[in-house]
Amino acid sequence: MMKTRKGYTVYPLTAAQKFHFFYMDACENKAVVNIGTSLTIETELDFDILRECIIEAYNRSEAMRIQFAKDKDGTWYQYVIDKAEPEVPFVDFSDGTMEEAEQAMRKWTGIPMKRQDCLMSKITMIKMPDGYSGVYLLSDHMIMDAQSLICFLRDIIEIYSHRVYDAVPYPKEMASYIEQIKKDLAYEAGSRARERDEAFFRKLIEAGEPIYNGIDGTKKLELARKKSGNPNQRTAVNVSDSVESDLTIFHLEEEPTSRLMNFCHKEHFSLTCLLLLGLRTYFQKENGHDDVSINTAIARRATLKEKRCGGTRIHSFPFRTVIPKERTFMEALREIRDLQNEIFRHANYDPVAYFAYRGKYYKTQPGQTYEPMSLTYQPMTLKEQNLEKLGDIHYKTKWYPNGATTQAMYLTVMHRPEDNGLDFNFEHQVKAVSEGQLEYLYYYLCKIMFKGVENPNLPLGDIMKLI
Amino acid sequence: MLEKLKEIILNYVEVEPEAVTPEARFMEDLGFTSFDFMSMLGEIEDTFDVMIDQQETADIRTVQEAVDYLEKLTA
Repeated sequence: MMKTRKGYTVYPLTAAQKFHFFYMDACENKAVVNIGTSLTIETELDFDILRECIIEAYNRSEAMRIQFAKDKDGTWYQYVIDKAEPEVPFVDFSDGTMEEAEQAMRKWTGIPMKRQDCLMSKITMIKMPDGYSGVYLLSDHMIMDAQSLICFLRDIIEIYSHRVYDAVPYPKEMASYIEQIKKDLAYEAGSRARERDEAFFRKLIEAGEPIYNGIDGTKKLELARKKSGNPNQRTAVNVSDSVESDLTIFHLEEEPTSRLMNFCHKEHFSLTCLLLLGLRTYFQKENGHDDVSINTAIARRATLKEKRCGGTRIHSFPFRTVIPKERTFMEALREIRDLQNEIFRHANYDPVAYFAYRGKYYKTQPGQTYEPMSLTYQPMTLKEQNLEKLGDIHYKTKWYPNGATTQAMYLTVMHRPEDNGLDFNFEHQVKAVSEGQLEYLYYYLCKIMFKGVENPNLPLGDIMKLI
Repeated sequence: MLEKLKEIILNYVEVEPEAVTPEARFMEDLGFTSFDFMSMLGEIEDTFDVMIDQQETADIRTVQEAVDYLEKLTA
């Protein structure tokens, strides 16, 4: 068993990392774990200073200095190097078109990274045709998730702003990634909390078998039943034979977004609850089942240290509700909020262990699922107190698809810094889910949410008829 | 109890210690999200060696309400 690598103590992978590792290992396109993002700012940048600030940000963050190594028996470990000296090239796209620039960054995002004894990210300074300048960051999902991505990019901006502008303070220290994973690994090794969490999820699983709901109704479920000869089968295969993916993005403008956010703020619900209710009502309408299950990501960053330690911490669990059509929109929201809070209490549990137990309990075959999609809502933005002191400088962020996904459909909802609206980012297997199907889903998701927000005491059945 | 709870609260939100008053509301005044709050309940269980009932915490909005609940559990 490996204990050190290049003089550094090694640690096992955490549950959150193992989740990404398993699907990456099984997928022939290793770029499936790539996260490609650009952040550009509408101001002239001093690229020499920016380069220094980027390197400084790497050396402030243990998580950005994670490297992986494989033992003789095939087990992977992680370690953190003391100092990083990343190459930080500069690419000037300003002579071409925006489309060409984005095409290039899309291509970069689709290139698999080396996986052993090297940094798991690459950063490039960019100058865009629209007058904006900034960085493109390619990172591996085993060292980064949406929150740590925003935290790292924010750190670069804050360090740079401190260097070039008066009265912008130096940003606070990042928290130790190593200290955090020691806690995570101690939990996983056997703790009272883990026993409690396992008991909770096993009870939830044993309460009854979920049922698959398709984006276009019961076709896939009927096909699965026909194939197996079991008319009572409740699982279906929703992925295709190709991991080729695309990213379809829908934009919700500032005004309608603020209507949703104001409702959530006034009634004490997170936007995730509203999104879950909108989505499950859509599937209920299309499939005729009150029982709907959707995978939901939990960021697992509660303490200040967890918020600033970097790394990848997301755990996804099925969020299953059985809500009859007679229930009102508001009653359903409360039920979702209560279940969400319960799951939050136990979110440190290993999702791989959850799915393994559920598969064993209901004897599901590989590839079969009850969940048509996954959902994640990312509330963090780059707007930060220090940055507001810079005045009205505009930012743009863009997420580039890596070209592969092992899931049929994954929806990430994020705030847009440009106009305070929302982006609905659907990453989907092109052979499993079409753009047309996504347009239909998005259209009805919005109709349901807005109808419900305007008439929260209407039963879900009535909302389904009205839309 | 208030001082112990205050110490825990300050692990979760970036506020001045003086802001953690008995009347302070977790969400509106201290900036807790629902995940932060649920996570903190887990830490409280381990710190005070108690079992917290999810339903009973649904109406806790302020620091004082949390203190009152904890005092009831540890009595």
